[in-house]
Amino acid sequence: MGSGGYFLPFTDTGKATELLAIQVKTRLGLGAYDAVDPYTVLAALPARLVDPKDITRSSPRAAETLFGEQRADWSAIGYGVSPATGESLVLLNPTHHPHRQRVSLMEEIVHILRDHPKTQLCFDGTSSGSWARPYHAALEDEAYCVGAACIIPYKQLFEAIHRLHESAAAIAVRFDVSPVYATYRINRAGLSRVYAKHHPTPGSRWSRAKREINRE
Amino acid sequence: MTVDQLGAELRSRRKELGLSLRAVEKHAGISAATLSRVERGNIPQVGVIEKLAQWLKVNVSTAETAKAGVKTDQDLKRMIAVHLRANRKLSEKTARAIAETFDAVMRVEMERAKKGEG
Repeated sequence: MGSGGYFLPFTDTGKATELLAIQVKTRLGLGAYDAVDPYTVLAALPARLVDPKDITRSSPRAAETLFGEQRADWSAIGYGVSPATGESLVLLNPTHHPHRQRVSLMEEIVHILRDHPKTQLCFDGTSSGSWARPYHAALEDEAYCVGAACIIPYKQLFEAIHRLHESAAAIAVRFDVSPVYATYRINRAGLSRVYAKHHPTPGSRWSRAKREINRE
Repeated sequence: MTVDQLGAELRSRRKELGLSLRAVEKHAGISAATLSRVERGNIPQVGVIEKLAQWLKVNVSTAETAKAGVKTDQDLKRMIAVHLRANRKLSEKTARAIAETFDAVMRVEMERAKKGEG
């Protein structure tokens, strides 16, 4: 048992992440140990996915860039609230694997519920004549790992590894994510040693796993 | 400066240089009608912001905070800001495309609001 009577990871960072995930789930009306399906909880936010066809129709040049040559540059865009419906609007990269889209959506949901500041786009007309944006590495990392804790709750992950001796591949199937993402979650939850006891090939370091996810 | 300050900066620079809107139109490649709207406080589309920033040689960022009660596309354009899951070093081309999609998405939403679909 950990703080607040919850079953939490052994590591401090693991604990902090799990508690943030529990806060997010509480806001979504879910229990502490529930796994979040990001598509199912959209209405509860409220949020809505932007149809990529709307972008293609209304801004073909931007669509050609984002869905074509620069498709590897981005995963999801959260536009803020629709003046028509009050829903938060999210565009997922339609060229990415469904697993990756699911993870990206979960990350956007964490950004929204944690009220992370948005990126301000800035045009530099003084010299470079280019658009740029600041990058908040700590917030991006928080959204990513809290998102992973929402999709794969610690208690279920611990039971899968410790009691059922499931492989990362089996865990991935259960939570509808890629095996690399499951491995990332195992490592960030501080369960890589326990996992390695039951599986001959130890899980890769989380940073490597994250890089591989981005390459998928 | 933020997009909110663009109109005042344009007017002041134009007066300083003694240029008419037509003269700026030729130099900046933006119609005099659009320039006039910007000077009156309208927030232009992304492409116009780019051209104006280059002509004025200034950095233009979106507004830091939203005004209370966002009701028009002008209110929305001033705060182009996104949650972005993207590469740490976003290419300029991608950033511009994202800014353009913000315009497009909000246009669709405003049309929806006008039709009362919300």
